[in-house]
Amino acid sequence: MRRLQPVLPVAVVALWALVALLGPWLPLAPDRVDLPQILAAPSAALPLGADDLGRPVLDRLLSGARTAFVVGVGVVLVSAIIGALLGGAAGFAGGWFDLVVVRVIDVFLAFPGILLAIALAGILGPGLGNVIVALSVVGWVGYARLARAQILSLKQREHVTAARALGVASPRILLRHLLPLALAPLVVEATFGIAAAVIAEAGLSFLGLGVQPPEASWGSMIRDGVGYMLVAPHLVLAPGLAVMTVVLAVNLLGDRLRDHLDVRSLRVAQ
Amino acid sequence: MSVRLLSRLGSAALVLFGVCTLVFLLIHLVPGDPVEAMLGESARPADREALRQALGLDLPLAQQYRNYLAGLARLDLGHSLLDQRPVAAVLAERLPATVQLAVTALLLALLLAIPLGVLAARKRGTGVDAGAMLFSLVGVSMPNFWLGPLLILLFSLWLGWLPVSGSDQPGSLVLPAVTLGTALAAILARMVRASVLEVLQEDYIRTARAKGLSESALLWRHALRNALLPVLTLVGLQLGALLGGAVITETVFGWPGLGSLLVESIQARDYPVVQGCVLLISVVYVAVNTATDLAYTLADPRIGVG
Amino acid sequence: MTEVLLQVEQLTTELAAAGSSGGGAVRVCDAVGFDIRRGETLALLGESGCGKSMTALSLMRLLPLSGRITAGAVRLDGTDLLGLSERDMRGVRGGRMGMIFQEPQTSLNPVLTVGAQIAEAVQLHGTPPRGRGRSGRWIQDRVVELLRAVGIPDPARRAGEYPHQLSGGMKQRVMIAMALAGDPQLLIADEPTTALDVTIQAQVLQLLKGLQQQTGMAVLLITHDLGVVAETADRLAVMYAGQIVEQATSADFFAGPAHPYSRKLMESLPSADKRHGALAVIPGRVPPLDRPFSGCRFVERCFRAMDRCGETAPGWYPAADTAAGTKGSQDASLDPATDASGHMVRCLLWENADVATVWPTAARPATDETAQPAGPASSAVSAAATAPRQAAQAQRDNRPPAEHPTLLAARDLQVHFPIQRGLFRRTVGYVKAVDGVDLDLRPGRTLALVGESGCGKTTVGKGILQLERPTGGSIRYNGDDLARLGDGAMRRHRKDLQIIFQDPFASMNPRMLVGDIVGEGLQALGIERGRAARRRVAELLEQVGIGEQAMGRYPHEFSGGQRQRICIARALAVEPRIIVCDEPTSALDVSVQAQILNLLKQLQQDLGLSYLFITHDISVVAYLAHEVAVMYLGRIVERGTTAEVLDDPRHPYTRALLSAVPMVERAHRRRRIQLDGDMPSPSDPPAGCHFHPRCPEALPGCAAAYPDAVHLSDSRFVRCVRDRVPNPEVGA
Repeated sequence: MRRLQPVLPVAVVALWALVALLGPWLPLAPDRVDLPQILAAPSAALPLGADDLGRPVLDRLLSGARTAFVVGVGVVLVSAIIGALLGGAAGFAGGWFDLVVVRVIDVFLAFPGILLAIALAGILGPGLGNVIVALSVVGWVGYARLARAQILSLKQREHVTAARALGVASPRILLRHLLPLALAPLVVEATFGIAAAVIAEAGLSFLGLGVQPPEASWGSMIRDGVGYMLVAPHLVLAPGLAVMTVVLAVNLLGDRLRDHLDVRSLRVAQ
Repeated sequence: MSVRLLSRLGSAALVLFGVCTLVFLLIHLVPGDPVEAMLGESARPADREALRQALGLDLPLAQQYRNYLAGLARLDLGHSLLDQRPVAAVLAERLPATVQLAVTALLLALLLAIPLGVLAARKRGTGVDAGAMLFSLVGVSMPNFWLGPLLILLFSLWLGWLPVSGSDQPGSLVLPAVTLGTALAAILARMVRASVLEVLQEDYIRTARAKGLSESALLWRHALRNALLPVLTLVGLQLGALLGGAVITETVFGWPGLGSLLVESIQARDYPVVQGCVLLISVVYVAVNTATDLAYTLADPRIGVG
Repeated sequence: MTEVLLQVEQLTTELAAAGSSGGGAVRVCDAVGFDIRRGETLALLGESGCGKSMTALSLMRLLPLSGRITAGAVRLDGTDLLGLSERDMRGVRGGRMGMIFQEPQTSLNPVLTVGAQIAEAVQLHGTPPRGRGRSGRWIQDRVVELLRAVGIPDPARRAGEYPHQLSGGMKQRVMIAMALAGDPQLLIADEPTTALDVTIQAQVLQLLKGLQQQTGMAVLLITHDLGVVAETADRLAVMYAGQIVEQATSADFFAGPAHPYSRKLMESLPSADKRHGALAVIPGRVPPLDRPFSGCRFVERCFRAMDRCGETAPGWYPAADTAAGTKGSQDASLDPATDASGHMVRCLLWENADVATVWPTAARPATDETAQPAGPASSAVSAAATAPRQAAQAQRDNRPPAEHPTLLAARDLQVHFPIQRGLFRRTVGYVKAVDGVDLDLRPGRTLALVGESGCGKTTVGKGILQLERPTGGSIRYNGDDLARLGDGAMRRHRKDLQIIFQDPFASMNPRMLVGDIVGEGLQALGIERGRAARRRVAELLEQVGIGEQAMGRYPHEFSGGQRQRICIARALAVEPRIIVCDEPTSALDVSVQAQILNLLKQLQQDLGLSYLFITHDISVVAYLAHEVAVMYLGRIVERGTTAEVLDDPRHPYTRALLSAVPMVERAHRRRRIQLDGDMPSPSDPPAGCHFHPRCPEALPGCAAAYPDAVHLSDSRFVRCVRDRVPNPEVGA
């Protein structure tokens, strides 16, 4: 009971996942154009109003939740698996392979933030798949670096030496002594990675480099709403709040997870 | 010292070489024919051929790569497809605005984050700490493409205090810099807090206390320098997020820097300029990081020797 | 001006319990009381977690954030320290009362020069002589003067250096200089030499003694090391579970400790005298301090516990030699502080009693072969059963090594680590961690490899097991040269060669169950599988005294000593013939160390194991080893049987090393041979004999070439030019 239980963040993330996964079966009409309702303010019929084409903002918001979820989870899965495998293998194998991987990581790290993803997405063209590819090309590096550092430091531990002295074979050492212990920080990193991917997807869509219209994305909703900010601020407020709430919740969960894992390692290290 | 310096510069050069190669390959990633992508499907075959030759895309890949590197050595980045101006000239025109924005945002972030982080660490576990960390968490979670429009709505449209966009009026810089600096300030405040807390646990702080030093002398003389040194390298790395964020912020505010140029060029399919933008921003980033690394070397006596 | 400088009464300190559900506090110091007189050294002795460091921090009011002094009084020369404002207390800290800590490596600020750090203390607390102002010039002069006083060569230059440029011993000297800046009346030294090598420890203790004589300051020495206490303290107080349980002058205490705990502590110390028997052990663990005690805190572990010990908290009783001394014993509230010179003990055995009734057999704890663990709680081995075995073992031990066959022979073993720099990881030099080592391991025998940190002894162990690949030399085992085998071929021998590490916790995977940890070798080498393997693991855990129910638990659920037993079980699982023991007891308290040493000895007798015992602790060597090899900077400088080397050391380094070991027994103390400076780096060893720059007996020729081994007997060689020609004067 050190801090408040993370009820709220868990609830937000669960709701987000639920909406995203059930999306196709929900009675949503994100693309229904209703000209009389153009820029309509929130009302009983349209809880979040309508956008500049008269489309219902709530439906687009829920549909955008699915986009954010697919990209967030997709990018983290692809980049974490590739990154962790490559980085972990480099750390475990050492030698020239490690040297090459380190240099490649360095080159990718030299592109600031999502700059490379912006350029890539721009060149590849819009689309959900391309967004995931562009963000994964940027994203794998962090996991690779972390996994490599983890494996390198774990390799020095005495229980690994003891296992070698007992004649335990290398694959088994990797499987039993290195990977389980390297996993925890990677999981924490992946949690924060989901938050980062959600922001990045929305950012790309905001720049018009994300999903293909008319598919809904929180980023493109903000982009479309900016021009009508004075007359219909809800077009910007609603999707922005959605991004922030989800990202905040995921970040809070990551924090909790990190604290939790740290506490354990502290207790273990007594 | 000099050995370390040379090796650091050497690895920076190697990284830059890799960056150049990757940027060169970018254009070849375009699915299908890049020329078709640039001109659209309705373009005449003669125009396509002309562009292909102008860009040297008809040559073998190795030859293209050699030409590209030779061009780089002469600072020749090709010509814009829009107005045929040299890319280097276009970039040079836009660079100052981005530097101005990034530096202002960075200073703003540091001015906010360091006092906030130190305060939160000293008042650990109190309301001040909780408030600072809440600000930080919200700041990290607030995307700049949302914060920017919100600030415009509040300060430009409703209050009318500051211009909506552009760079030519007094006060133009305020909103873009705040937008860009907020996330960095939030991240740095957490780092400063964590770093100060960690240093305050160190044995040498106990030694200083046992010497009879006051708490403020302890903080200023013994804790801060040790706590801020690691933050310095993190600032260098966070600069990446700042430069990446500048692309979006500049677009939101119509700020005439490299970021908005990049987005404009992507939309106009002006690939030579896209390449140039990515290359220049990355080079600036690598240069700044190498510099902070060397500054760290100078500031920390443990690394200074050998 | 009174005799008493510091008076501590009923000092009670609590730490907020982290993670405990009840929100209860841990009472780390409970009604601690003692006096320190001007100029004397009082040692506060106890094992880890007994509250000795918390007592020291309470005196300085430097407790961690969760700590609080809840009761008591501390008076320094009449000043009530607990009543001072924080501001006034700062004037006392580093002024009238200085403190030095265990870890010199981390206790200095890495980004400030040592001169600047001392100058801070001078600035705050220094008093300039009449006629000189508190100028920057004066401060600088004073800093240099202080550095000179603590024996730092070239002090003016050193003042401008950063901590990382100094060795551990030098850093501790800087810490002392800093503490001296305010001319303290009392210096609190919290385990000041625990992190240092024994020759450096000798330097620092010598320095403290000298400074104390010059300045007349009193010293409160916090330590776990009985030897250090015996050699440096005037008086001592023994702490157990947050309380002081015995106070006495050093002479009285070592002549006859009164408390059963103190007595067991002494008996659990390994030494040559005890080598033919088991060491005394204290069963169980220190009780948790987060609840009130109804009786004596030691009762559950005490071999003399009486019924009422569990109900009545003992007061102070005089531990007098004669019944006449027990006059005051009815008064349970008697405070030892009122009679500083008396020998007082907090134990009900001493109520209305004297030495003759409490410890009838002998006034001193037995240190010879008759020392048998008394009482049922002590050991599973009964005295009757061990006596004949001891005699047989003593006979075996005395046979010369050549009569034992060689199991494994290392010749000219080298392990050089490349130093790589720059972009392409170019090799610019080598750290010659092991540089030509010869050694032989024999079945049923222990070879101790002794040396200070950085001498390469651990790397020898890893090199033999091929955990670090040797860069030269051979290791003959079972007809193969292990250094030339590939990984696959080496696996065939893995079963025979095992290792135990210093830190048992780090050497177990925290995510694996104890049963899987112990069984890992069985599975990896395909020795046994399934149910048979589990049965074998259960047997092993019984054999090392843990019990098979441990199989389903995780390493963090066990204490340090238990963890080391589990590691021993893991090594035993594959039925090895040789075990490399790499400082297996250095991280453990003395009473726990005794359990592990007993176990290792028992296993050797039962299974005929051969040990390569890597250690820096000479008393463990004396207790356990048959042969000794002394290492200095990558090479063995002297080797022989334990008796040969310890009784008649020939190499000047061996002699200095042995003389630096603090001894409890006055009779065993040697004339100290002070070594100057520190061990050089193995990447750039001195030319010729590596030891010659520090050698008190160096000859002009020593720098020319590394001396060859001179064989003094079948079992013994020395690598020193002084032994090349037999010289009757040397080694007298």
